[in-house]
Amino acid sequence: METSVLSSQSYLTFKLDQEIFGSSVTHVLEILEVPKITKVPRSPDYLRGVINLRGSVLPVIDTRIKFGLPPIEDTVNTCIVVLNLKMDGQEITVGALVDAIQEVIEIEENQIMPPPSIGTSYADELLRGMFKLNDEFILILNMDQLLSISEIHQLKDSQNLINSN
Amino acid sequence: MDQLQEIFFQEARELLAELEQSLLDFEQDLGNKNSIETIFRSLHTLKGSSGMFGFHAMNEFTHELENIFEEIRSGKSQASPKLLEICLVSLDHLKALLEDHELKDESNAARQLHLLKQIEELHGSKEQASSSIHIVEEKNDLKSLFYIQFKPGNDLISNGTNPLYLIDDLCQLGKSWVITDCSRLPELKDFVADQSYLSFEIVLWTSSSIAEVNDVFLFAEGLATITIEKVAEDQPNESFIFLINEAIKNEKSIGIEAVHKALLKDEKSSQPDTLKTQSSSTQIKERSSGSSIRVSSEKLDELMNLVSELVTSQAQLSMHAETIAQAQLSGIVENMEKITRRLRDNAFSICLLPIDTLTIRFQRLVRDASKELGKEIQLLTEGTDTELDKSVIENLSDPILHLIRNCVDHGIESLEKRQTNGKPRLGTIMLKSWYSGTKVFIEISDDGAGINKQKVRQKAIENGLITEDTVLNEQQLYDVLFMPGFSTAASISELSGRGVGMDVVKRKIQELKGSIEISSIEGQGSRFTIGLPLTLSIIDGLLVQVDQATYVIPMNLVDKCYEKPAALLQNRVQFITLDGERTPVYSLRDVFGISNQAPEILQIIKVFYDQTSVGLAVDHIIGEHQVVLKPLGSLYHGHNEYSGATILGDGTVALVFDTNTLFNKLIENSNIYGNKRSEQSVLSHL
Amino acid sequence: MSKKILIVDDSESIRELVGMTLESSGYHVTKSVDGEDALEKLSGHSFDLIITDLNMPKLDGIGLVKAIRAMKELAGLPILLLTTESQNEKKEEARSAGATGWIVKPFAQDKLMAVVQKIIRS
Repeated sequence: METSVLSSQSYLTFKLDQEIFGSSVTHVLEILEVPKITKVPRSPDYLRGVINLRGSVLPVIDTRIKFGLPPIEDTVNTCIVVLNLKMDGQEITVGALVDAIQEVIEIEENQIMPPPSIGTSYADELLRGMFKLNDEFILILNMDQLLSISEIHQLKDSQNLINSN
Repeated sequence: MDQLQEIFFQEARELLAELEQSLLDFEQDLGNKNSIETIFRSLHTLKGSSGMFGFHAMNEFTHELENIFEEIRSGKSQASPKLLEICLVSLDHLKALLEDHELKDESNAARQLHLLKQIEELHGSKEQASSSIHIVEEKNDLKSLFYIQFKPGNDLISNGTNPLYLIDDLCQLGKSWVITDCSRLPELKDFVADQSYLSFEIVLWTSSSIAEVNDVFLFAEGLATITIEKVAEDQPNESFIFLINEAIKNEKSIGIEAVHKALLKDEKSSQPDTLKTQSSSTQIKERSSGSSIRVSSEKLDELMNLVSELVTSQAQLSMHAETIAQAQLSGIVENMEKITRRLRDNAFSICLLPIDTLTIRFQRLVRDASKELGKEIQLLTEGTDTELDKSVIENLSDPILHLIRNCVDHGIESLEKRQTNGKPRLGTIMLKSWYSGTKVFIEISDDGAGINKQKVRQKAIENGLITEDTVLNEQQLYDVLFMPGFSTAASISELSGRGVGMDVVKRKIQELKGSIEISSIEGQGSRFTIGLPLTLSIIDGLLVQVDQATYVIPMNLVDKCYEKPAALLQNRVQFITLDGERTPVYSLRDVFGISNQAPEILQIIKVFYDQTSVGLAVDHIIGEHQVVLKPLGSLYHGHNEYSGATILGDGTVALVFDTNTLFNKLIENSNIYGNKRSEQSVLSHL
Repeated sequence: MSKKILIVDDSESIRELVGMTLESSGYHVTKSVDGEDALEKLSGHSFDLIITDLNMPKLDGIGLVKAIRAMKELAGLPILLLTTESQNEKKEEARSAGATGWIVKPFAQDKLMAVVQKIIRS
């Protein structure tokens, strides 16, 4: 697939704090307004809780916290991006809270620059590269890494949180 | 056709299971007529269907077995232990045939021969001609002239044969002339509908043989007078045809004499076949199983999904009806709720199977294994009508099998040893099952040697699982048995040596969200207790509120609710006297770390836990609801204090407690962090 | 209108096999698991032919034939028995009970059709 002909892909861009991120639309199932979220007590901060997605229970990730950004109150622009991700070989559906949805853009593979080696606080695996659009940099995310192995361990540890009071 | 074959295989598997059970029953009681009948019928059906589906090896094999049981059934021969032994091996062979129906595997082919030989020896001289003898009839182009007399008897029509069809069939065979004799026709008022008053004479010019002509009347034999005679081999001449045509016109019989005369040929008569009918007593057998149909599990899953959706919609409807508060609507909604609940219970019961369905395998295992080891062991069962979800049952089979194998192998001692220890020769393994709260318990116990703790400890040290100075209490020591890497050399015998260790047993049971515990007294026996949640996906729940959130407590675990002033509950956990009973009460607010102002009155819900009760303090009790359990998903993997979540009437999500796990965690925590002394002492009685 | 046939056999595979054969020849097929079940199906429904196994739980083939022949209103209803070769003596018994005919298992599908067409015509 890495040929020059087929290298163009669609990306959904969204805003978190001051940054613009891009995710390949292949992961994106839909975008929701934020409904009432049910918090699961004693779960890690970046797990905001669960919502009702047409009768199924969907976990929602607070992407800001996940990315180490300062948490803020939800605004009218806050959205949930419903993503289909791979975790440990299993497909799971999660919702990711983002500050605002921007647009869907086409990016050619060869236009993606390698990620900046310094100046970001994001894990290397998470960033796939950068793309420059009208003087703004879009950070292209490797979405499957959103729930990376280390995070799973972190989740498992949370099991003890209920006890450690 | 493939689908049909699949049906055949499934049916065959069921029949083999039935066969196995009845063989085992029969072995227990060689005089049991019911067992013989069931064995016979299972074999008979297997023979029939395997033949129909062209599985010749199985057909031949079941035929031989059927013959034996036919004789036993009719009292012509006696069953012997040797026979049963062969039958059980044969049964395994039949199972193998299901996988290898063409005997492609040489070992299967060899075994078939071997077993057939054994059966033959046992059965005495094997009857010949078990397969049908097909007489190949010579077809020739030579034609003959037949004269056929056909006089239907009284029962022919009422027995379902239409005489006209028979004549029609005859006419298909060649050129024919049919003379109908109407002389016996009664007046219309005397006419009986299912009586035949006509008789027929047919002259047939055909290349068919007399046997083929006879075949037409196959089903009429004994119900009609039939004469078939080959009267000539030459084509009938014109004067003969004239005679016949006259008779047809006159509707008058001509008789064989006239035919011969007309043909001027030598007479040659053939005896009409008359069937002597004998009636022997029919055996009608009782079988307790009610009639049933087979439904694919996909359809069941879909049913369950639809029921789940219905329950969710019902909850929404109920909620809205409550806000509208219109008497007529409320009445309907209430009624709907009842129906939904019944439908739900019904749908669930469909997916449940009794543990009984597994016991055949276990009986067989105990029987075979004890024989092999030269031990005498019986497997007793109790409460095996306890029902579990089909999928759970399927996944339980292997772990239980392994535990029973363990009992046979290591638990029950050798005959000599039992004798020296003053124990009865016959060792007993007990399989017991019962419901308790939201759990099902399955207990496997034996009256054997028990677990040698010293030996276990030794092995664990050898295998590097613990060190010399590790201090373990009894339960902890038993837990070592479940650790991966504790496969003791002793446990890898012919029987247990499937490479499955106790760690796999534990893992399998944990996958079913169950638990397993061991208890044992040296010299007296061991007991394995498996606890499984009744994993129902729709439950009755009590909706409660803590701060802003709504939670669900399974209704069947709720004992009673109490209202108490909040001031009474100062700590995260403390004893409160409820109905004169000192009960530990947890404040969910505290457990969840909610710090805002609590209401002045707390609701305390007394929940069953193990053999006792524990209280949970919440802000409000909202009410009872049917809830559909949805998985929380792998992201919340560690949060097994919730059995899942549910969608409420207003579309929001509420978490559903698994109170047993919740309490386990809360208590475990207080043990781990032993600094909370008061708590520990509070809970020490749990 | 296609002819209606009731198949009675406790073996599902045979039921299905016979059923499929008949259905593909344009017959309307109803299936039943034993004699009792068949009698239930017979009340309220009319059939042109019954094909029944001999050996069945609850009510076997011969019992079924006897029961049907005892019902005046069903006089003349053809009943075919599915037998095996080892059941020759049963054949006689069935005949005297009032069975119309029999088919010996195992049989090929065309043989089945030939026998059925011997008894009912559409």
